[in-house]
Amino acid sequence: MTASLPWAQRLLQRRRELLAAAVAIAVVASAAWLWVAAGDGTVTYPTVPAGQTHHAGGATWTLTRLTAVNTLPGGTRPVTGAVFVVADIQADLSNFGTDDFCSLRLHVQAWEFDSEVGYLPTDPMVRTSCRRGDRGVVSAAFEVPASLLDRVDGVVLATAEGRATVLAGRIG
Amino acid sequence: MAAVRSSLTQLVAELSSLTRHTVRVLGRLWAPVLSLMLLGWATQQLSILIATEVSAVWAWGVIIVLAVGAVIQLATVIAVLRVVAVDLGLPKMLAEASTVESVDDDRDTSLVALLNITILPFLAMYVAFGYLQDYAARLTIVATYRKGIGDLLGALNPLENTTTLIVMLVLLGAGFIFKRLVDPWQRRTRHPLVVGGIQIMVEACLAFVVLLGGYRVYQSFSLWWDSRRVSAWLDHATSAVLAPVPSEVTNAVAATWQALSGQLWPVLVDGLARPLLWLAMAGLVFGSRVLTLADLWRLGRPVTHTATRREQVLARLQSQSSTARGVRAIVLKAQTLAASGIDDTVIPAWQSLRLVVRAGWPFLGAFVIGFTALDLVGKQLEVWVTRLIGGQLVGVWIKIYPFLDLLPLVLVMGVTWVFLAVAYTRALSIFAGEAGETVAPVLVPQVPGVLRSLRTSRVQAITVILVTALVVAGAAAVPATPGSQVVHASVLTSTDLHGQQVSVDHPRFATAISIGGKTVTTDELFVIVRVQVRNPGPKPGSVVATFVSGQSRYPTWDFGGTPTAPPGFLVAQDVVFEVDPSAVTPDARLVFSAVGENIALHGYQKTLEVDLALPPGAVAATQEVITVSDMPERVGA
Repeated sequence: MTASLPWAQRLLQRRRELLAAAVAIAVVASAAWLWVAAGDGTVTYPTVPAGQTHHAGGATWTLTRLTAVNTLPGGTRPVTGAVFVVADIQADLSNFGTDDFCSLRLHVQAWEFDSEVGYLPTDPMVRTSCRRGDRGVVSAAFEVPASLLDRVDGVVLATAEGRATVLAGRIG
Repeated sequence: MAAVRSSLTQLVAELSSLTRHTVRVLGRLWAPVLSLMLLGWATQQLSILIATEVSAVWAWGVIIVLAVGAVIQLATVIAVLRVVAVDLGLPKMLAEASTVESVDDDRDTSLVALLNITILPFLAMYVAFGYLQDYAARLTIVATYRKGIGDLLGALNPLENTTTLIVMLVLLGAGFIFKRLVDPWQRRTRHPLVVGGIQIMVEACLAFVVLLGGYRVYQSFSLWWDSRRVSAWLDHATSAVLAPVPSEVTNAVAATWQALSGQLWPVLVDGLARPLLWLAMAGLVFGSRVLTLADLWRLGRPVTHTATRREQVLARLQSQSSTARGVRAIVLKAQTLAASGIDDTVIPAWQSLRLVVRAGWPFLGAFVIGFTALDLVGKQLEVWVTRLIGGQLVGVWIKIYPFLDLLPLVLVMGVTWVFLAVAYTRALSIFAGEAGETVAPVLVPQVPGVLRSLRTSRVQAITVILVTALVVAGAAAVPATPGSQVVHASVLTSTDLHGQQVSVDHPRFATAISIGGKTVTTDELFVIVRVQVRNPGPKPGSVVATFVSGQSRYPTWDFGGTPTAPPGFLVAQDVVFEVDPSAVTPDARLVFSAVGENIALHGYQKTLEVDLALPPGAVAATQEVITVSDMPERVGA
């Protein structure tokens, strides 16, 4: 009987089922949106455990040291309330990509800090850029609020190929 | 005066009747209407979610997802219109009124058949009034925010690469042929629902292809034309012809044209054409009897045998094709094939519009006023809710967009569709009333004499038009956007701006600045302000400053911009503005807005206005040269 009625009348006759279905679908849509939105604004990286070697861009990278210092070579001092963190990474760039691009940022839980421009290590063998063919230490300095020092958990390495990765490490 | 009073009485009676019936219908049908609008809302949100993920992998897939979303949303709208019509008893009234033997209409038995007929006109309406563009724009915003896609729609721009253009043209051609071929097949197949569903999806996809690609073509043509010499020649020619005309006259004409094209025309299109076109579209939903149909509105008048021009053309084509041979036969068949598509959709829509505008001035005025009031209330509700939530960065708005959409997409549109259905039923009832005793109209206002709406008088027309135009113009004048949440502060006061603490020092003035050892001079005036920004983190943040004085706004001068504070740091920077000295007035202020997580995306957010507290004659303290730092300086953590 119902099937022979125009579809609009069938809808009117089954309004409770229709409402229940609509509310259920709306709840699912809301939940899906909120679930996706929960990840908004948070950037996650794969992490390489402390001391282990990471392969990226045709090169190998190992975070060997994270040190907190109050003065950089050349006498540069941090602003009040901040310290410098120096990261040393053992890198083999023999087969590194031709564009020589690498980026290092200090990872402090949800925070990230760019490296200091003009930082020059005392040891002339230590590099501050990624040049194809180099083998040795690549170093970078970061100015961070002193209050965050105990939350430093690594260095974010990004190259032209592949995904940015955290090389885990602690100040020590 | 009596005629004016009578006209106003009829107008009020019609409006009151439409409102009352709308409320009653909502009272009876709130559950199915709410259900269908919720389904439409959920469809839109899910389609945006899915399309965002698809966009990162395959740009063309976005068209399919959006088309599916649009079709489902349209289906819910059509279902609401149809359900209300059934509840009001419209099918029964039409059955009584029709002089044609009752014919089973697919629209009664199949939602797919109804969608097939209505999809193109409804999509055209959606495009014409910006709804589809808003849909696509929302997707672009969310995809840009979540996936960082620079130009999602660029991948679908036929002018960016030849392949996209060729693909779009092939799709359009294939879609046109598909429709011509599938129509006869659908009548013969054992699965008409499936075939009908596929046809609907194809048409919806093509509509999006036209929307996304065609707009780019139009935009580029417009830019190309403006850059052509012929365009410049036309400008020069126009200037030469108008040279003898006094400038006051040309300025007045230009101002009038600006008022007409920039203000009056949008009001006319949006305020008057939109509701009438939507009402006409509603007619497509109500069944073929409505539109075979001159039956109905000709009842009570002498019936003529004058065929419409369209009917004459089709008759001629048919007659000629029956005797044509060879190439001419093919050409005529192609013409008929092309025209049949228009016959299925455009002609009924046009007939429906003609019917609506003949329902009488009181009805038309009441409907437009009611529609305008609904639209105004809906927009103001959105503004108030937005202001209640307060200024937030774009990330917060993207999280809560779907829930804010419940207001316009479920509540306001639900009431609007019911109002449309009630109004169309009332329009048909007016004609049914003219048909005499054979037909019982289903919606009749309480004021006697209103039934005779079909009999117009000049006074009635003028009265209704004036009142309606006033209401529409008044509604258009009400601001429909929340602007920004303004926070006021004074110099040397640290004020929160979306988590960043901003403070401003007293401004300095100079005719030259020294940067990095170089001196830069100006014919105007440099205003130098030391700005400090503290960013508590964890994300980097920057603020953008503007120097504002009266109606004048000045962005920061070339170098530096405004301070970008790394998370956890306090930075200071000299921010420079090059301004007209007359803009240095006591009401001058700096306006700051936060850039947030995405430099291009903004929602309703806070704006900080810092009163510079400039005394009169402040420019007297102008120095010859001021040395400024060109980089933000970290001053603390």
